Amino acid sequence: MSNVPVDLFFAKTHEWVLVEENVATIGISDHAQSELGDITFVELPEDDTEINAGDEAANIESVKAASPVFSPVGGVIIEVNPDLEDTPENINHDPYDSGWIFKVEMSDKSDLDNLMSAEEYEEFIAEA
Amino acid sequence: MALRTPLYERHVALDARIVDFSGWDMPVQYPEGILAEHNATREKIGIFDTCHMGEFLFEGENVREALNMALAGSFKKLGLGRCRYTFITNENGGVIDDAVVMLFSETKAWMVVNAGDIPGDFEAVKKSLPSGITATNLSEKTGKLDVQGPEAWKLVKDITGQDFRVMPFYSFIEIKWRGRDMILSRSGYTGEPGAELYVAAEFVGELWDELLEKGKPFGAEPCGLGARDTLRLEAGMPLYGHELTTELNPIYAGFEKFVVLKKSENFPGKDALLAAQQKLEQNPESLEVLVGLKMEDKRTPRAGFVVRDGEAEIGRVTSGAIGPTVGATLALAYVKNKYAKTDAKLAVESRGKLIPCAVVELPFYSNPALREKTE
Repeated sequence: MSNVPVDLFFAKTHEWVLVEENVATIGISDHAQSELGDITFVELPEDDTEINAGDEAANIESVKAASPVFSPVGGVIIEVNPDLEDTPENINHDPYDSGWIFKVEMSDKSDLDNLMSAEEYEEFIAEA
Repeated sequence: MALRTPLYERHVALDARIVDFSGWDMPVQYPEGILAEHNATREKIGIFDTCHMGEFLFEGENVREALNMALAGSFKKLGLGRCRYTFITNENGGVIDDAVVMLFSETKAWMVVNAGDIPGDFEAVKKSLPSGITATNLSEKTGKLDVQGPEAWKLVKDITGQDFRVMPFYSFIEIKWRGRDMILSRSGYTGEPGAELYVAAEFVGELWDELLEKGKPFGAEPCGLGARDTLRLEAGMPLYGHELTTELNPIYAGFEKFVVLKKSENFPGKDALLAAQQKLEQNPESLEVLVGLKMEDKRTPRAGFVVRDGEAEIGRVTSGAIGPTVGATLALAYVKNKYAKTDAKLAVESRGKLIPCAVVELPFYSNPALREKTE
C-alpha cells in the first residue's frame, strides 16, 4: 500500500505539491518511486528557470528507464534539492521529505485547481 | 495470452513486479529491488527463474557433425560433458539467436536457447539437420533455475551433494536430486561462479522452494530480470536483441571466434560469412566492433543512443545501465573500428546532452573464481 500524505496535492503524472504561501515544493509520489524502482540519477532544472504548468522540469533515471518529472504549477524555479546529486535514492526512501526535487514560486495559484486531493489520488492509483 | 513459467504464482506471492519479456510474464524485480539483488549475487547468492529459456534435444548417429551443419560453431572436438557457446545463423549470416550446446555423448546433445522465439529457433535448427537426427523441443517439459554467486557452491552442494567447484567451467553432469533427474551445469549469465540446474518442469517449483528455504542462511535472494541484466552487462556478456540481431554480422561484430568457417560442413549463412571475412581482411576499417564504455557521470546511456567523437557520429549504444559493482554507469556499443581503442575518449548523446566516456576493456567486472577449479 502506498503512502499518500493528506496535506499534499497530486498530479495525474504522479508529482506531489506542497503549498506554503506562494511557493510550491514538488516531488514524486511514493507510488511513483515504487514503480520506478532504484533511482540512480536526477537531472535537476536550473534555478530561475521560468516554466509553465505541465512542462518537463526534471528527469529521473532508474536502473531500468528514464522518466520525466513535470511541474504541476507554473512560475519560476527558485530552488532545487542539492542533496539529490549525491543521494538520488532519497526519492526512494523518503519521497515526501528529503526526496523533494524542486520549488516553484507560483505565478498563478489557480494551477492548483487542476490537481487532486490525497483522497482523489488514492482512488486514482487504485484504479490505474 | 502471455506465456508464464511454472513459478509465476510464486513470483506474484513474493510480491515481484511482473513485466513482459519477449512475450513472457517475468519478474523484473522483487521488493528488495534490482540493486539489492545485484549485490546479493555479487556478494552471496542470487537465484533466478530461467524456465522461460528453451531446451532442444538432438539424438542420432554423429550428432557432432549434425550440430556442425546447423550452427556456426564447431563441435568436432568438444569434450563429452562440456558446454559450448554458439550462434544460430540465417542465410545472410545474421544471428537468429545465441545458444549453448551441451554434449552428452556421440549420439546425444542439448541446446539451450533464449526465450524470445523458441519455436522459430527450433525450426531454424531442425531444417539444417541431416536425416537420421531426431530433434525434440523439450522447452515446456524442462524447468531451469540459475544459482549464481561466490557462495552458490555451498547451497548447490547442500541440496545436491555436488560441489561444482571441482568441475571445469562450462561443463555439466547428470545427477539425482530427491531421486529425480537433474542436470547441473557449471555456467551462468552473471560473471559469478554458479550453476544452472535443469529438472522436469513439474518439479521446478519444489526446487525453487528448497533453494530459497535452504539459501536463507547463506544470504541467497531471488533475483529478477533487472539484476540479471546489470550483472551480465558488468560481465560484458551480449544480450540477444541488443548486441546480437539478425541484422548483425557476427564477423564484423568481433564474435569471429564463435564462427568456424574452416570446418568442412556447410551451415546457414556460411557463404555470406566467408564473404564478410574476406571483405574485412581487405578493409578492416569497415568494421564496427563491440566495445565497453564507462561513463564519466551518472546519466545512463540507453540502447539506441548515438556515440560521438567530437561532432562525428561513430556508433550506437546497444545496452546501458548502472554497474553497481563497478561503481559507474556502463554501456555496450558498436563503434567504428578505429575508435575502438582502450582509453579512447568518446561521448554518448543523451537527450541532447553529451555524456563523456572512455572505451574500457571488457569485461567491466570479472571474478577470478568464475573459472577456478578446486581439487
